[in-house]
Amino acid sequence: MRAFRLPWLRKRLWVSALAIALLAGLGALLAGTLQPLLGAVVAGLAPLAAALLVDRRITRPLSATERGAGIIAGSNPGHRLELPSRHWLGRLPETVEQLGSTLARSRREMEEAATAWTTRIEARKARLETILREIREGVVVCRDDGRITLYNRTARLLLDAEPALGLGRYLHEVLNDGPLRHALGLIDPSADAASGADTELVCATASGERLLRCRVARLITDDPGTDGFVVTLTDVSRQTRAVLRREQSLREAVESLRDPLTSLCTVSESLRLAQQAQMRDDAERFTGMLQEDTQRLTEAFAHLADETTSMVTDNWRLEDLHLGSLVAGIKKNAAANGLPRIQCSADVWVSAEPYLLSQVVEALLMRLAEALGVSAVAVSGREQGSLVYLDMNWSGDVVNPDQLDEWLDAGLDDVGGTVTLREVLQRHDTTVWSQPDRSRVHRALLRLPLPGAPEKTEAPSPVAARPEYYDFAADEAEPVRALGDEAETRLGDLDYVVFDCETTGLEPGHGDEIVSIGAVRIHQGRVIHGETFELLANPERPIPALATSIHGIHDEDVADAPPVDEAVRRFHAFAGNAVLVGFNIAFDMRFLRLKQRRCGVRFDHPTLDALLLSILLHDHTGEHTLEGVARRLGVGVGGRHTALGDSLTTAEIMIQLFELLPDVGIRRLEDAIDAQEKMVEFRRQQRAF
Amino acid sequence: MVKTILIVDHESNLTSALRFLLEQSGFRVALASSGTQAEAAMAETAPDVALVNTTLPDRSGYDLCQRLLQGAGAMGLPILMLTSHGLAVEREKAFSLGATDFIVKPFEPAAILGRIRSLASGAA
Repeated sequence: MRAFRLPWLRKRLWVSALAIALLAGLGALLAGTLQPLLGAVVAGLAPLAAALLVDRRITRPLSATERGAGIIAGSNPGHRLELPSRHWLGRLPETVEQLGSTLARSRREMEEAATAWTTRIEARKARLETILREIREGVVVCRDDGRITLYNRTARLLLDAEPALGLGRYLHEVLNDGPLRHALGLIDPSADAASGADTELVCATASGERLLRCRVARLITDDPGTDGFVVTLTDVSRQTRAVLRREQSLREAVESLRDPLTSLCTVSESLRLAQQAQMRDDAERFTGMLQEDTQRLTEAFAHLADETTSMVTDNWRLEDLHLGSLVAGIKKNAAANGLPRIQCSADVWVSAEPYLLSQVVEALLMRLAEALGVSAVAVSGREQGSLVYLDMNWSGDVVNPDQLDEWLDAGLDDVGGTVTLREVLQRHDTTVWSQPDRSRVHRALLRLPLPGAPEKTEAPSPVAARPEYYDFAADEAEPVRALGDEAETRLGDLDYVVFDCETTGLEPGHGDEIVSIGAVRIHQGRVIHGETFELLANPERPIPALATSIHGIHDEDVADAPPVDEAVRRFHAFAGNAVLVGFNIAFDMRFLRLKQRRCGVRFDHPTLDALLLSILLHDHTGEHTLEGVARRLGVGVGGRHTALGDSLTTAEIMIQLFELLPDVGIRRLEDAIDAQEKMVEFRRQQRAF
Repeated sequence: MVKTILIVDHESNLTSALRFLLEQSGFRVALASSGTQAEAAMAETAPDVALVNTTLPDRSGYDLCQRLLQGAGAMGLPILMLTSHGLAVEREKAFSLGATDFIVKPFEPAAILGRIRSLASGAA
């Protein structure tokens, strides 16, 4: 049905008025009256005047009202209607303006409500991110199918050896699948009405690098499509290894006693018989054996004693502790606790139980003040081999050993008096003694040796302050599709791994090898800077000077790196099922595919080439180097000719290309792959000519 | 008739003293400190009882126990397994694999002599 439109009505009105005026004039003329011409003019003008009036008072205001209503409805509800000063529309324009005001108010209220909600949600999100970042346990949130939608910084550190960790990847690629499936079965409400809300398991990581205690809990939301589960992770590798080592040591120590003991019993019985029968030679032989067995037994016992000591110490929750911080804590309340004035210089780390050690130090300082009247003590820490000497140094005499023994046998007040200072020291495998300070006269010290803190592990690589691997939007992602569906997926919705290889040369078929692989993930149309892969590989052949001049990697840099096969396998695990992207990717894929059989992996991923897609979009220029493309698309270039640096630049280029490709009709993966193939064919033909 | 006891253990002091005690008790003794030596001694001496340690330098004592029992003429050979491992399952394993008796080190000389006598008197 044709819509009613005011300009059309106005036009028809004028056409009709004109027609009536002509007919009336013609009628009057034909009627042959006395003043035929005048009559015709009057008869003709009257309808025209009426039409003019109707147009000014009705149709023009109506037309203005229509346009104004359009503006009110479409963009500006506060718009005032632009009407002629006089009209016959009554209250209609006023009513339209009132409707506009009401609409404006409603919109404003809705916007305010939405802003308030957004602010509240942002605040909650920020709080959740902070909690997740600071929480000591690793947290991984997954959808029902195991797809990872969120993980925190601790999880990243715990799973740093797992190349498959990433948003959109599957938890079973990161943790040992069997125990995990079992645990999920236990909390699956659809499987068993009696299933619990959460369960615990101990599970190895996929690489076997760590043993984790995992608590798996169901995550039920109001939106059934976003249900899933949350896993909290605690590293129990150290404790488990310690327990296993202790058990093994104890077993071996006990077993090491059995042989010499058996031999001792048997030999001594033989000796008795030999002596009884006066078989002197045999008796002498057995006496020698007796001495040997006694020696073996003594050694076995010493080993057992060492193991026992280490077991006692191992059972304690020893922590790496900054001695200066511990003394600073004591110093803060020194006056209130009746301690001497403390001067501290102890910028060293020890391995100790923090609370009990601080209790011991505080108790010793208190005894110095009470028993010897010491008013000021200099506390220092000094590394001595594997130990750290904690010295409490004062002006005066040494503590009498008997008196020190008394102090050590006293209970610690703050732990209910049930544990003595001596016990705490024994459990730290140490003791304390008093001696003169040999470097200064009239000064004495209490020396307490403590185990130095174990060698610090390398600091974890810096993680972006804003945790980019949080992705709340991932919950809205399309479900996983088979490769066929993947072809139909919008480019911006796919997961990509953008990678680059540095090599010894340009000819993989003639012995050139990979020396470095770098990669970064793109998820939900975003470069995930927290999910990168960077690995040097040992090509087991010299790196030519020309290659080194390009990528800066020398033979000695890769001497301790894993072999190329291992690097390729690890990269394959990192890539998962993502679409692979590169800049002139055919070159890199050739290196990888030549290795795949030997490595027992397949690189049958769909691939996109940022170079080809750039040429497709900007065929007006011949500048298609990585720098040139990056400059054209406003992408910064960092770490050029490092595998990771080039991957990051290529990834940022791809993000820009995703925006531009729909303009030339490339929206889905299939479109992009088709376009690439056509370009390759076109260039091949160009070369043939 | 003098019974022959084959002792298979690499603990030289123990085997020397045990040999002395057994000889004093009227047994003939053959010594082997490895599985390979034990199989050779088996063929040469046709022992009436074998004492086999569960741990040997060249193979497991359990493995040797099975091989000795499978060998020609070894049908019904009583084998006493000696072990330094304290796990209860070791005993189960020894009997399952055909051992006649099992003793955990350390043991009293009188205890093992009693067991050997008992096994030897039961042997054909």
